[in-house]
Amino acid sequence: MTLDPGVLSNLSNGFLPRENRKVNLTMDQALLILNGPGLAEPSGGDVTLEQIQRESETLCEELGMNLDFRQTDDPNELSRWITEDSRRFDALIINPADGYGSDDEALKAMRDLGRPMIEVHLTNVFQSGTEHAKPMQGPNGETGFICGLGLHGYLLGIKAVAKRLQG
Amino acid sequence: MKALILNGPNLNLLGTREPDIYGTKTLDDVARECQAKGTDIGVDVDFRQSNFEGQLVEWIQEAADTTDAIVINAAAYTHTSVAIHDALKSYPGFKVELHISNPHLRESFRHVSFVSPVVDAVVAGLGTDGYAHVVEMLPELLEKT
Repeated sequence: MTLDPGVLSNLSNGFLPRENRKVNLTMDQALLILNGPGLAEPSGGDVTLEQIQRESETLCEELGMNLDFRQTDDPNELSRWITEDSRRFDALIINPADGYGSDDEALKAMRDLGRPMIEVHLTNVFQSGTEHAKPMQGPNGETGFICGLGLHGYLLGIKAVAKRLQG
Repeated sequence: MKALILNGPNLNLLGTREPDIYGTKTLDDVARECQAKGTDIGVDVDFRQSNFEGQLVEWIQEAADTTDAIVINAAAYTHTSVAIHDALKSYPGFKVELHISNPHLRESFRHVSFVSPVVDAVVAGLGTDGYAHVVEMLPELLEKT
């Protein structure tokens, strides 16, 4: 049996065949960074959201990506950003804080989107001794997970996304 | 600055084993990328792989006096090894747990990590690129701690 290459590329995991993916080198890529409830004043690490935003913007500029950086304390708004707004972006980095876990619609929307997505937490969420909610399910194989690197987790996420999108 | 990058069981087969999950790069390719990146930024990268749990434990113990950071992809031992958990707990430097795929999106027996609670940070699901990305960050991360 032979398979159409298009079918194969649909079946394959995200970070594998870059050659099968459409890469647009002429236009800036657009990245959406979402921050969930409580992150206006992060308790983990000694960093402010303004610092994170500033350094994220600087790095995105260096890498030729447009950045939309947002925070909300309203889980419903976060969910709306994921389900609706993220469709207009090439990649999503999300620090959900405690603002997810039960919203199946939002998680399903992320899966269906089929774009690079990285979940970031400032602190090591596995160190707390409490059971952490299962990390988000993104598109198959596409979902990165970074925790414990503070501000640098966002920067690592941005670099990883840029490499993925731009090769 | 010296960093030890440790790789656990079956990672010697990288590039040939389940390439749809782990990619087509070999572990030698990844080692070369890490060492090249390290050379650029002044990090001496010691890149190793073993299929033996005890060997990994010994390397972690030896690294205590000779390295500033460990990046460990314990592979399948992540989900089983109390010995690696204990060895890492005693390691005084900066510790990063790394996975090529995101174990939480795979079979349920990969959802528990004995490594995660005893490291500073976890990086997963960034593909083989994750290694070089983490190496690149080490100087800033170590400056912070």
